[in-house]
Order: sequence, then structure tokens, then C-alpha cells
Amino acid sequence: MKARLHFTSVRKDYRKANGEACTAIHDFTSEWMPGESIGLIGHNGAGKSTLLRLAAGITSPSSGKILREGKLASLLEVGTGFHPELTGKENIFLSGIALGMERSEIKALIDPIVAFAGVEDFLHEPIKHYSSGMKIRLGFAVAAHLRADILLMDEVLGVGDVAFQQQSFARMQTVLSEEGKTLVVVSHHLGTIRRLCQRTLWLDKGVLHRDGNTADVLDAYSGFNTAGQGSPPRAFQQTPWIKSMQWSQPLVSGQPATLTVELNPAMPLERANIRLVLHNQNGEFLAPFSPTTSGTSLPSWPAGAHWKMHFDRLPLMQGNYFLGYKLFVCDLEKDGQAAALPFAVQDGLYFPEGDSFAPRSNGLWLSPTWTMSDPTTP
Amino acid sequence: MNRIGHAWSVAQTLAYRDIKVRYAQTALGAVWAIAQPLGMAAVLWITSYGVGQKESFPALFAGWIVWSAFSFAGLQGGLSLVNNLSLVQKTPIPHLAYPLSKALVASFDAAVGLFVLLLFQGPSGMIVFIPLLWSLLLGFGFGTWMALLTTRSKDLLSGLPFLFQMLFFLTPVWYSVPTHASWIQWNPLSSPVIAAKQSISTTLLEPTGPWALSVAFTIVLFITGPLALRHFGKNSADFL
Repeated sequence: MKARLHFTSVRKDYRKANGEACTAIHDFTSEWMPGESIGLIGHNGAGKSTLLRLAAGITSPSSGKILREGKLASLLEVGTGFHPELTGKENIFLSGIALGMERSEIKALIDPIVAFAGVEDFLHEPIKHYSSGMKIRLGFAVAAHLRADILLMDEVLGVGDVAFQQQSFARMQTVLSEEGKTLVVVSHHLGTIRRLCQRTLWLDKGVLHRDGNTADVLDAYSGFNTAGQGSPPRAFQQTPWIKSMQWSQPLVSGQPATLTVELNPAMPLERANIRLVLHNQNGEFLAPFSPTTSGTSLPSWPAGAHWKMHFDRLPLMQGNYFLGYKLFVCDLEKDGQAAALPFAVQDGLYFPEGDSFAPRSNGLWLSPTWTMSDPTTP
Repeated sequence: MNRIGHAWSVAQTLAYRDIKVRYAQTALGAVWAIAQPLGMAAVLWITSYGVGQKESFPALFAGWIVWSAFSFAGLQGGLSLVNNLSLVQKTPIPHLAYPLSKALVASFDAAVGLFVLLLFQGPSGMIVFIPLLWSLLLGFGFGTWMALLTTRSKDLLSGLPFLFQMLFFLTPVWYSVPTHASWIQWNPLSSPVIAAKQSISTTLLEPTGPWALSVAFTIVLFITGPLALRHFGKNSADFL
């Protein structure tokens, strides 16, 4: 089978505004096959967008070769080519043609596009009168109906409200179910990649760092080791303010757990406070913690003080999590890290008497109080 | 769809966008398309009479529409890649589409101008079609080169409007070629403008001056511009 996109030793150099040369992509070789859905991940400046622009043919490589097979469509921005003075319908044509559709094709697709975006009543209004949500929906709707063998998308999935996101995912899954389509998605939202892509490429500073099964690459990317591989998660990196931050071991759902934060002994802290934020492995926010939630000022701490946060029953399901923190002294933020402490929780019984729930991960255990009213007793 | 086909359909759509947006929500709407060249020709007529030139109003009008066809296709075409930054950076549309769309808008304006000319000149005014087309092709060729070069040089970007202002004064639009500065006829744009003005009074195309050179220059720009944009412009998106 012939690859849809075939990169051979592709390199891309840029010259910055100050004349300094920099290399955005180093010696990239890869084959993207028909039927594959591929995620591109990496930190800002890793070269993901440059790679998409090379793939789309917007710019050409400084050296190396890119071969394309089949019709390619790229959506690097929602609402490509939209003009505020034109009506919704005119903008559908403008954007569709800019993205490589033919006029007859757009004519045939206009009703599905309008229905997908839900802008039937505003079709003949200039889009400057649209809400920003409507503009985004219309822009995505045009792209979602592109007929192409290779579809490239840069941070455009997951726009709009939750209902529209579900609709977009469903649409992408329909596109993927057609035989031989290749979908390439760049996203910082790892949940999107996990849901849509079987294969993920991790770029780091322009170099292909890892290429493989999405679950494996994402676990590695999150700074975790997949279950059973042994080595402990990356430890907390000491800062001038905080000497250490660690969980009691082992961490098991439903069992006691204590987080100890040790402040640097060289720093006596006036009115210090810490705010912790818990994220799941996709970087999605779960819960905040702080020794003081009311904003009242705290007393001075002696040098080398410890904070301890204790759970009698750890309410986290099995899975991988991050803790981030911000340290405040006299109400000023002095220190902070978004992903300071990655940790893994093992499966355990949260309800001491056992439960009949199917095994799940990365969720929270809650134990609300249940009552049942009986209409026969007054 | 092949590259040329894609460029052509994008150019048409962008031209439609430009024309639609230009007159959207104006009270006079399309009247502007007629009023603007007429008003400009009237100003040229008044000022040229003031300095003792004796050119008829239709001749001045013909000269003006030939100049504007070149000026719009050349200047707007030259700025078209820079002004469509987001499309250039986010889509693989062949870059030729951008100056081509401006040449199409210039053609629309030229067609309206020619129509107005026919109103007070009768069918014989159709002769102006030839210098008009000549000037459009010259403007398009020049515009494609400028579209490429303005992505590489920000100086050219600021200099281009100034260049066109100078060119206006160095083209015999509202005066005849002065004897003390006959070199003005060597300006490649002078030939179509002079031809248009003369054809109004004589109803014939009688080429004068170094017209063949201008035709050759037009053909060279018309052919090399799109080729240059294709071959040297592969990485234009990186320079914007």
C-alpha cells in the first residue's frame, strides 16, 4: 500500500526576524498510511505546526522530500478566509473554495453545512452580526465537510460548546470510517488525541521523539510509565522555596494517604500559603487544595516547616495524576509549577464493604449521603 | 482540481469578495463604480484646461481608465500576498490566485469604465478595449512580480504606493508628452495611455513612440511574473 504522505529526511530552517537561523524540523522521516489517524503532540515550538504546513504544501522543506498521494485538505484555522462583511452563505463559498472545494461541491453540501453549524436563520446575514460561537461553528462545519483523502487539522477540534464538540467528534469519526482516509490532528488537548488517533507522534524541539500507539506515547508524554514497567514516577524537582513534596507510599484508592510539603530551611516564611491543583493525566483540572481556603492570612512559619495534607480514604480512582502548586508569601506569588508532582494511584477498595462498580480509572470516589422517602409514611 | 484551476476559482471568489465588500452597505452602491472614474476624469479635465492643455473629456476619461487598470492590478496585486496574510499562511492556495484576483477586480472596473465611455462615445469607443487590455496585462505582470518581491523586502512594501504615485505623474494621463521631456514616452505605460487617448480623437489605433518595446515588456512580465511566483515563492509564507 502506498503512503498518503511520505517524508524523507525532511529539514526546515527558518531565519528569525533578527537574522538568526533556526531549525524547526530536523531530519524527519515518516510514512502516513491510508486509514490511519495520527496525532501530533509536543510542547509549544516543538515543530508540530511547521510539520503540518510542510505536509499541506504551504511551505516547502529546506532539504529532504515530501511525497503526497491523493487529495489533501488542511484546516489550520477555523473560518479560513472568512470576511465579516459577507453573509454566512457567501462565506461558506469563500472558505470552501479557499480550502480546495469546487463550487458545485459546495452547492451540493450547503444544506448539511448549514444544518451542522445550526445557523439556518442567519444564512443571509453578514457574519459580523454572528456571535463568536456561531462563526466558529460555521467555520468548522465547512471544514468538516471537506472531501479529501488526507485531512490535516491544527488545534481546531474541540472548538465551540460541549454539544458542538460531541457533534464534531462524531463527524470526524464518520470521516474516519470511510475507507482509506488519513486524518492528522495537532492538539494540546490530549483527550482529543486519545479519542481520535490510533497512532501518535511526539515531537520535541523539531525532532521526532517517539512514534507509536497513542496510549503508549501519551503515557510517556505525561511523564508516566505504563503499568508494570517498574521504575517510579519522576520525583519532585527541588526549588529555592520548597525542598520536597512527596506522597506516602503506596498510594491506593480508599487507603490513607499523606502529602508532605517540606519548605526550604533557609527560608523562614512570613504568612506563607500554598495552593495545590490536581489534574488528570490529560492535564484536565480536577480539584484545588489549600490549607487555607478562606483567604485569611496565616501565621509565620519557622524555618524548615512541613505541611501535611491527609486523606483518611484517598478518593482518587486508579490512574495517573499531576499536582501543580503555587506558593504565596505575604499574598505574593513566589514559586509555582504547573506539573510539579506526577503520581500514580493503584486500584483499591474505596467503599470498605466493597462495591459492584465496573473497574474505572482517573475518576473520583465520592460518598454522598442517600435517603429514600416513603410516600406511605407521613 | 489542478493548481491553475484552483488558483482561478480562488481568484474569482476573492475578486467577488473585494467587489462585494467595497460596495456593501453604501447608500449609492454600484453608482460609485460609475461616479468615481467620471469624477476623476472631470478633475483631470478642469486642471488640464487650467494649464492650457486641450484634450477632450472622453480622451481624458479613456486615459484615466487605462491608467487605473494598470494601477489597481499592479499596486493591489503587488500588495495582495501581504494583505491576504492569513490565507497565505494557512492554506496551500497557489500564490498566483492573489494578484490574479486583483487583476480581475481591475478588469471589472475597466469594463464599467468602458461601458461609461461607450455612453458618450458610441460604438467607436470600443477601440479603447485594446489599450485597456494591454494595460491590464502589464499591471498583472508587474503585480505578480511585486507580490513576490514585497514578501522579501519590507522596504519595497512601503515604497510601492510611492512608486505608483510617481508613475502617475510620469505617465501622460492628463497631459501630452512634453517636448522637453520626451523620455516620458519610454515609460512602458505611456504607450497604452497615449494609444487610448489618440484612438478617441481619431477612432483608429495609430501606435506612436516606442510602443513595440512596451508590448514586448508587457509580454515578458505577463509570462515571467507567474513563473517567478511559482518558482521563487515556494517559501513566501515563511517571510510574511
